[in-house]
Amino acid sequence: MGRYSLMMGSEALVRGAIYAGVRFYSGYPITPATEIAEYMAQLLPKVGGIFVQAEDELAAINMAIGASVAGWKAMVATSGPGFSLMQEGIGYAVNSEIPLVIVDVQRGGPSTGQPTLPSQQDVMQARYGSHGSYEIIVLTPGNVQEMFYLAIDAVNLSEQYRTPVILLTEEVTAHLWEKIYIPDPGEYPVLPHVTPTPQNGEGFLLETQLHDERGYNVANDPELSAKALWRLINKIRDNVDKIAKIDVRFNDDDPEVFIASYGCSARSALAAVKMLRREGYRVGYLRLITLWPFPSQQIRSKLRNASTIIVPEMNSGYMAEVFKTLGYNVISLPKLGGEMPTPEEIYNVARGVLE
Amino acid sequence: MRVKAKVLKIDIDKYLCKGCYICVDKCPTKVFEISDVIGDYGAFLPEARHIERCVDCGICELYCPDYAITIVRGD
Amino acid sequence: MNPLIQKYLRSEYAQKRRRTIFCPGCGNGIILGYFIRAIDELKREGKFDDSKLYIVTGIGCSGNTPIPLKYNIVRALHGRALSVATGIKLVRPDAEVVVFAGDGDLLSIGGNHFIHTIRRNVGVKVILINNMLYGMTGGQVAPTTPMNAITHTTPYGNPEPPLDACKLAVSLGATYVARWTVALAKQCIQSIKELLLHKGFGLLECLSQCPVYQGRYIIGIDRPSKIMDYYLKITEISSEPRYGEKITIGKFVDYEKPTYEEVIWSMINRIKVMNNEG
Repeated sequence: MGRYSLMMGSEALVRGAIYAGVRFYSGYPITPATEIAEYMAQLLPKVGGIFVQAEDELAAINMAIGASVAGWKAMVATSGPGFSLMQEGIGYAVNSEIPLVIVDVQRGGPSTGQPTLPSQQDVMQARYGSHGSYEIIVLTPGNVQEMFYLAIDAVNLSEQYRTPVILLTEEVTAHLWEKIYIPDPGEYPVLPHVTPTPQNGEGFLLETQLHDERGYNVANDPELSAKALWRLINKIRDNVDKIAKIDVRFNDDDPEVFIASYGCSARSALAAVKMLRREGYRVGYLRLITLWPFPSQQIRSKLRNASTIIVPEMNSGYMAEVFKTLGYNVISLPKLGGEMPTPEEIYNVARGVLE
Repeated sequence: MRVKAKVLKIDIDKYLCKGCYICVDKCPTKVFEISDVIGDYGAFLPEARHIERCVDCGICELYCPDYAITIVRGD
Repeated sequence: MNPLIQKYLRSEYAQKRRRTIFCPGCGNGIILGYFIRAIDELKREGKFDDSKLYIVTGIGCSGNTPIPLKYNIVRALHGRALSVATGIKLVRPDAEVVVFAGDGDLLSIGGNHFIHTIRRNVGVKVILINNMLYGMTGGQVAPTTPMNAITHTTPYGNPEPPLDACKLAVSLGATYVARWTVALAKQCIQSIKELLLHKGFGLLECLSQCPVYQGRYIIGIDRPSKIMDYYLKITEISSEPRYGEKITIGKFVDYEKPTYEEVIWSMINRIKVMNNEG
């Protein structure tokens, strides 16, 4: 039986990562992710881990990749400007199949933007930030307990599918204090670390150009290159049902209208749904826990009767566009400026739709 | 006193030699000459025509960028 | 194929199914041969264990130098080889980590990581293959190109003075710095042996030849052996690094001081003990 504790989102994330076996962290100070680096600097050496403050985010992610190749689970955390710098490292980890967790504590952007205010503006960058065609797994915690559990899930998914996993959260969730449950060691499953292994008496060859299964460069051969890249893409695409998770509530009476959100905005969405239900309106609630790969199949099967989806989010309406591709009538509630959408704002729009 | 083995011949690998002729130019006693045999890479292969002049300095083997040269020693 | 070298190559290369990508006369192949011979001599003397060797390489012609080797090879992104090497060395301090990088890779885009890896004294050994330009992309100017040289991106002459990597390393406090040319075989092999046995950061800069671009554009000759003679003309032995009309070669610095992984691991062991007692 574990224990309960009151802590900040950043600390929960760090404790979850350490529970999952992360022992190497390299970081660079950036608001609002600096607390993650500071907690790691304090807690990692106590369990025999290594903390390095790198000279910039590029060095940070490359050091973490080196540590992962050499045999330790590694993590990096940053915010918007640093996330832009880390994109080449993310592409590197995708192509060379290196397990790694990257945390992005979103703040107002673009450029230096709003360093101390939250946003959800990096959702598309998390999916498409690096150059080239690739698939990636992105998780969004909605509360401090999920910061703990999704950190472990992110590590496990990265080991299982040998891919980098992005944990996308917001400044407000990282700085929020809530009571969480910390399981005992062994209570929550943790997968072992995978590294490239020597074959046939000779060392492994880890290549950054497109390569075959032995590591030899196939970049000049169109057929082999296509085969190598499709394998990386289908690794995720063929397993969407096993990877993706969503949270659907208030759908027992198959409502036609749903309020769908993710991360911190989902808390306001849930409050709005409860307000509407108390007044007798038939409306459902959907929260995306896995942002990418987008769980189209699961959404279609759980939202059986849905025709209209209201999407409140703290960016210019990115995920609303994705819901539109599923064929629903989508009402986008984009909110910029750094304040969470309030339950009243969502309630007003939803009531207008339901009447 | 252990006598160093004599150089019997110098082999040039025709698959590997790219015809840079560092061996031809750098040999201190001009053992090599460029033959008219074409190797697998498309270059005229060097040949150790004057092997009796070889002083076993090892420079040809050390300098070859493609490891095509093997000095064969024996008695 | 030369049997000594063949022992150390991957099966695709050792069994002659693949050739190296180097142009005829490229200095990279010669330097790889020196590296293999240095390891072979150390192994015969019983001073080196090559079962725990990681080789990290950069991008470019110089980054392709160690690919035929049968050791663990990690290719890093352009300029980031030192960061990846630091990550590997911290997690496996008992392993030997050697970095092969070119002058454009290590000093231009990787300049920041160069500075901080030396400052921390991470125990990685760097073999910097300096051919004074960017070879793989077709002969563009690099931080080590001499002033007024003609290259593909400086068709009217290079307006920038060159950077001396060895002087930078010495001033940052590197513990082993040496520079030789590719023509000086015995000195290069000896330097690589000293580098592999050295504790802490080590830099060996090897002035190499690129007959296709450097030879034809900067120097004016494209016969590889003549480029080696050119190097013998413009270099002189000294104990101070200089890089101008004349380039100085030699072993500049060789001493020891606490390495980064020593400091970090002793700190971790101390804290673990304190944590277990508390």
